[in-house]
Amino acid sequence: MAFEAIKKVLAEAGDIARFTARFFSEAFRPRFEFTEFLRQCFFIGYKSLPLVAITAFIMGLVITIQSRPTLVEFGAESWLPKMVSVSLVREIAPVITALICAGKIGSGIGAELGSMKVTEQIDSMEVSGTNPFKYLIATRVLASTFMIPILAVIADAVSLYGGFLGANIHGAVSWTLFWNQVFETLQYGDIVPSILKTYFFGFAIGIIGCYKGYNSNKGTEGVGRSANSAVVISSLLVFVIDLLAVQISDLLNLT
Amino acid sequence: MKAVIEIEHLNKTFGDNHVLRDFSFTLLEGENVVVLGKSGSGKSVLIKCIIGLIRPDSGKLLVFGKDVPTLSHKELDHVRSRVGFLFQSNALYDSMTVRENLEFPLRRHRSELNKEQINALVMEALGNVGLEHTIDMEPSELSGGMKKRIALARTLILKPDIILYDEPTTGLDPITGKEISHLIRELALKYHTSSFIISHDLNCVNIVADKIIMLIDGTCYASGTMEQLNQSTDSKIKTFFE
Amino acid sequence: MNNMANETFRNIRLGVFVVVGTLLLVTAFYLVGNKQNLFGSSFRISARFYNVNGLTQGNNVRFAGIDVGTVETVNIENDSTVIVVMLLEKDVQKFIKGNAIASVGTDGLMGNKLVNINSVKDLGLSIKEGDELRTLRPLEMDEMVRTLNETNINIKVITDNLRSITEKISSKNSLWNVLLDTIVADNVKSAVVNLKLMSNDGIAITGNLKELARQMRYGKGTIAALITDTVLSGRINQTIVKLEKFSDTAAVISGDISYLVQQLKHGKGSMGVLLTDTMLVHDLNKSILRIDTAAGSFNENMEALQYSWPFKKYYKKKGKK
Repeated sequence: MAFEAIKKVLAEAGDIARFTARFFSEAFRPRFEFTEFLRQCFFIGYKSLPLVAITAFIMGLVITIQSRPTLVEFGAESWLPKMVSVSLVREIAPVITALICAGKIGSGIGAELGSMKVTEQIDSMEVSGTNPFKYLIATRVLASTFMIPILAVIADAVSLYGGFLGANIHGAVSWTLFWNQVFETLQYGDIVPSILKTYFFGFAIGIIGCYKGYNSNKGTEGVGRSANSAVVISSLLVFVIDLLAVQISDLLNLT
Repeated sequence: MKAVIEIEHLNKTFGDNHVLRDFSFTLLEGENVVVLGKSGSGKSVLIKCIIGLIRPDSGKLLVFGKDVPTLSHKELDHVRSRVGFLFQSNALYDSMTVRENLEFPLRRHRSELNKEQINALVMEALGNVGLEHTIDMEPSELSGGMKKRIALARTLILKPDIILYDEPTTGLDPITGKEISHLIRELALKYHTSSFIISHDLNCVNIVADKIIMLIDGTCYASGTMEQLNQSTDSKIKTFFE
Repeated sequence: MNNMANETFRNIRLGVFVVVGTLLLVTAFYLVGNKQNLFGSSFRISARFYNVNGLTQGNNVRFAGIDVGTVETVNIENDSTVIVVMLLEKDVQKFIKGNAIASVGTDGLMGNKLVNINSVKDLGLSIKEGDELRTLRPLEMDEMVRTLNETNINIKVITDNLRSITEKISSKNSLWNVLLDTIVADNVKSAVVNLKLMSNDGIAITGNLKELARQMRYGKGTIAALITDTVLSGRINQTIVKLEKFSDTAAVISGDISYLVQQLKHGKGSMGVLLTDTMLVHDLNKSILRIDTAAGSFNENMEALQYSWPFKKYYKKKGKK
């Protein structure tokens, strides 16, 4: 049993790798479905903004409120903006953004492509002279690769604003002082790796959602299953990539 | 009359399942042929082989004299622009309006057209199926019969020489099914297209078919007109007409 | 066409989204870079320290308490010298004179290390690219000021205690009650103990300051520069003198006590007999002596200290908090 399960996992991993390879071989050859790419950017990026912004705002606020007591214990309350900004920008905002997007976009792509597959829309596209891999997969993967970093940057900003409000619930930190402290603390080594890794998050979310949807089994049940496993696998991948990213940036001394 | 589709000794297996074995058949210009067969008898596989969605294992499959499985992407696209395909589940793009659905094949296969020409073709196609008022609706707002008509309109919009129908009346009520069958017949006459129809709906067969092929066990078991087959004494054929 | 307009509107919103995101990132990069002096014109100066106390690359450099740059490199030159190269904003170049003094300090109690550049009253030429600043050993100063401050607080407590005791003793009708009251006696005792501790502190501080002044006078290392500033050294001398005297206020208070004890000793009534036998009298005597050497106008001294140069910054910072 266990052996079978492992075999299944490995087979799926290989399949995903092959799918990814196909993406690279097809996505960068003409013709480019630019209009569709923009459309997907709109849905993946712009449409996810409210959700990401609300989550980021709440995370910023909550992290600040939760960090205060410990800092007060050390009499280092004035360090609140510094501490909060580092944890938000380096880890929390990008990962929360990616997880939210894994949930929203991963399941969305999985379900959409799954139902397109099941209702023969993908075949229909091919018959209509369109390479569905380019039209459906490449556009979505590229859109999520490029939109999630932008979402993450906005999430950084919004969560820091949440942090500013959080810092002002008990204490009094002026707007200027807060941002001064934030940017005094943040280094390129904090921002650059954290933004770079979101490209990988976006790519993983896109490719897994597409893989699951594109290989959806016949029937409506298959659609639900692809959406579900797209979320599960892409969320897991986000953490794995995060771990790798942190280790690599640690090795490169980009702390 | 010229043959538009010639199939010789076509074989296709999925694992142990021998779906098509040594299937041969010819579709002539202007002919309406219905393929009758049980579910899972390989009808859908056959029709998808013709359009190049599935690759047969062996055999010859000529469409307009070109061997489909050996064609390059570009040549295949050219063949496809002359062959319409009406999917069993309609395959209307959920994310697009009716207009966008109809425009899609035009933009892909006939990129030389300008806006007005596209618009005129879209309106003509909708007129053919009597659904001009749905132009800005989404597929989810349409009934099953309307979806089928829109799908038919989309298939026809490129004025193909052959149209492949994958169970066009399945999932519709008998009355709507009849309407669609009549529509298929009318449009085939109007545009002088050949039709290759997969069905197990005898009403549809009655209305549309010039010729019937019995697909049993992956081969062309029998062929002939409705009357000829109806009078057959073969038990396997008889089960279809009871 | 309605459709196209919709598509365009969508693309506009997408465009705004992308531009806002990108702008935020660019702004963040700029601000971070700005804090690290990566943009805008700058110039380099260096300073040689004996000990940099954990100063590292990227630490701030302050001039007159304002962040004006960062530490670019910290390199060991030889067994007793560390050379620190600093990158400063071009704007402040005209304000920093060649005879300014650099020292390594701490931002707050737990904060990062930083380099303080302080001007000297003397007129001088503005510093040039690549110049080297004079430095100061920072260690003793910080510690001393901290100790002084603690002592100051102690003295205040003691003085308050003594004052209240004296007031109670001075009111004649309740004198007997007061002396019998063991709590008061204990208070006096603890006050005396505190005074002992405090006077030790005071002595130590005075010693430190003396040492400092001596070093300055004999011009140890770069500190020699300070001698030229006579005003400053005068101030420090004054501080030392005041610390040595140390006793004005306390003397007044203890005067009351000693008068009282004198009267009691010479046997004014039965109360006097009682008192001469108690340990309390000895302690009171002792305390008077201690007060003479220790307590006094410490507050005044501290005030004077605030205006003398080495502590200015410290008090300024304290005042801010």
